[in-house]
Amino acid sequence: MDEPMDRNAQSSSTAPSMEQVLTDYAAMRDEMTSALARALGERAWRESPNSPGPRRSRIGGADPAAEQVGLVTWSFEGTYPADTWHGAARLVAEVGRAYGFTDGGVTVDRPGDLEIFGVDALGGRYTFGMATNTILTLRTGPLRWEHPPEPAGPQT
Amino acid sequence: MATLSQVRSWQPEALGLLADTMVQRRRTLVALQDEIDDGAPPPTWAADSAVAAAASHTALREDLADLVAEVAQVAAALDTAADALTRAHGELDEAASVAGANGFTVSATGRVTDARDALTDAQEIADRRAVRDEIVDRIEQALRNADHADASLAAALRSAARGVDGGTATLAQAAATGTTGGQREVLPPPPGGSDHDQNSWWEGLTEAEQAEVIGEHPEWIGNVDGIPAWARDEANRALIGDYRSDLTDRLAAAREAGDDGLARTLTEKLDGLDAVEDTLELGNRHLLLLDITGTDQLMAAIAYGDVDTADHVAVFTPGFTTTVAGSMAGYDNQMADLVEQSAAQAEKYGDGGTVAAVAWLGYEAPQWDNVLDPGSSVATRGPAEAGAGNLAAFYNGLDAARDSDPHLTALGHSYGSLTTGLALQEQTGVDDAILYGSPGIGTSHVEDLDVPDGHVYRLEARRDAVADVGALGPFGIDPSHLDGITGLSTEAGSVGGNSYGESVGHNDYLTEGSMSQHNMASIIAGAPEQTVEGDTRGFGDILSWPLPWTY
Repeated sequence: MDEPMDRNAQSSSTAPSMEQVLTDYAAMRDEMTSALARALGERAWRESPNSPGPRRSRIGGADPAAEQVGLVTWSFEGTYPADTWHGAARLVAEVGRAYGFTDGGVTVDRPGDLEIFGVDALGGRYTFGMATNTILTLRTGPLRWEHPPEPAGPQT
Repeated sequence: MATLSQVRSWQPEALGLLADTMVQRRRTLVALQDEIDDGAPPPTWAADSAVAAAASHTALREDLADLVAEVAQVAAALDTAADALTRAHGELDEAASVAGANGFTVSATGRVTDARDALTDAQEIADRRAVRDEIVDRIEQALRNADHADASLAAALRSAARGVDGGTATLAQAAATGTTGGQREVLPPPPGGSDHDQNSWWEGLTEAEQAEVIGEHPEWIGNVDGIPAWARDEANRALIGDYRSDLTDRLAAAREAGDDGLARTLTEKLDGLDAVEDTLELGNRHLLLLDITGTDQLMAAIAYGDVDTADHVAVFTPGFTTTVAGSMAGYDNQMADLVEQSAAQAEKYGDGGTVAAVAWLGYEAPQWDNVLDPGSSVATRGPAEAGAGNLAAFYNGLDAARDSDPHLTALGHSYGSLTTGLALQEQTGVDDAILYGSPGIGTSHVEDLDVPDGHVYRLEARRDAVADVGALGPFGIDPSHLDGITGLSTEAGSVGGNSYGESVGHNDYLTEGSMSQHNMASIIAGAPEQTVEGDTRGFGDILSWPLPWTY
């Protein structure tokens, strides 16, 4: 794999662009699902039909031009075998750490319901959860685009 | 006006077949263009008879053009009438479906009767009256639409019978002239109509007519409750440029006149337009309200997600110091976060619902500048009362614009919870209400709210002083002491394996990963069983404890 950037080591003045971080996150997501596939078998990951789509937001604050992007949630129907859930969560967290995410914590851990999350130094966050189905969500912290996307037209 | 049974007897399919036949005739006639051109006297014909031949040919060509225009006009009018009557029948079917599903009957004359009798519960009587009114409104508007289709077709046929000038150009152009003449005039939305009237009016328009309204009369529908979100959005976006020009011109005039106060207001409104455009350009948003006519502020509402189709819809109303210019970006972000999280949870737990949320800044929220003004001060109910009617209509319009009602949640924060509480004292389709950081909800009795029992929630964070000041104002008692309202936790905790952070102060209720955000997202997503109940009470709640006989 390409060497992931260590975002924790960067100061805000040298913060990477949104494009760089999204590329990095996409690679991390691929690597998370690949690691899970190697250990626990292939699953039919796809964009969640419930997901509202990639979400852009401006959150104001110190840098009004900064945006936050939520990627489309990835999911597959069903889960891994219940006795492998904690192992699956460890694999995801391990890949996350390689991309500069620290283990944020466990949101839920009870029979039939497990969810963990990780955060990076730029305010990014992933969650990996399993209950009826399995989800992997990713969103960035506030970042600037190098080349802002064209303004969106009316929603269709 | 035509009766229900008359309109039911009209056959749009027959009109459609007739329109198809006339279109074929029109095409046959237009195809004679080459023949008529070839029949023109040759320019080399120089005898006196050539003049007479040319005159005869011109008369023939013009007569043919008139005929083409007449046929085209009739074809277009028949086609439009067929479409409009099909839509009117669809609206009548929809009204009959709503009636049947709710235990009402509709007679052949259009009379709507409640099949249930001996109702005694006042709330149930009010609810059933609202359903009956909806059915009646839909039937009346469908009949008006059918009447308009009938009158327009009759006018087009009479006009064709009198003769249509096809002009002196080509037969294709004559056909275009006739087709334009066959279009009916689009009537504006019914003035003063209910949200169901407006929706039935809109659904009665052909697609071409809807596009015409958005393109030529966006001001007719942009802020009209009952019109689908996509149409309101397109209309309001189309108006932004005009509004900007208008405000800019007025700002220049105000500066020239030395009116600094007005100039500040207009500048703030222009800044608000910037904030609206900045938010819209992020995509996946609908501009459901844009109003520059406020005394002091721009008003706007932006939805994240599609409120026309989402299973769960939330409407958030903020409070004191809120402006479109200063607050829209932050609230839009909070709504997008809520939607994203609710959707991810729906996917994980397999309940599959889609979610949309609206940041409704549709009233002039009180500001520091007005704090001493009795009419618009945060210490009074004035601004909330002024906004509550519009908010209630907005809730109702979301339902009216759809075939099936969504699970609708009202969110009110701070002074916005007073506006929300007052709105909910009107008849609305709100299923759940969440009032947080609330100084009062406009009543001391939760049963005054038109929300199902057990579906009103409150949240109060530690050190949220605003949530304790209600007892000092005319807002009703502190919601912490209301009977029948469910308290949700804002504290850090781990319940059933869930770990969430605490919210502290007045503005942290929607912080990501907090217990309060989790609780609100669970209610919005229709999963109250995943909430954590709680009852944060501080010293302020002791001070605000009401004496039982005082309310």
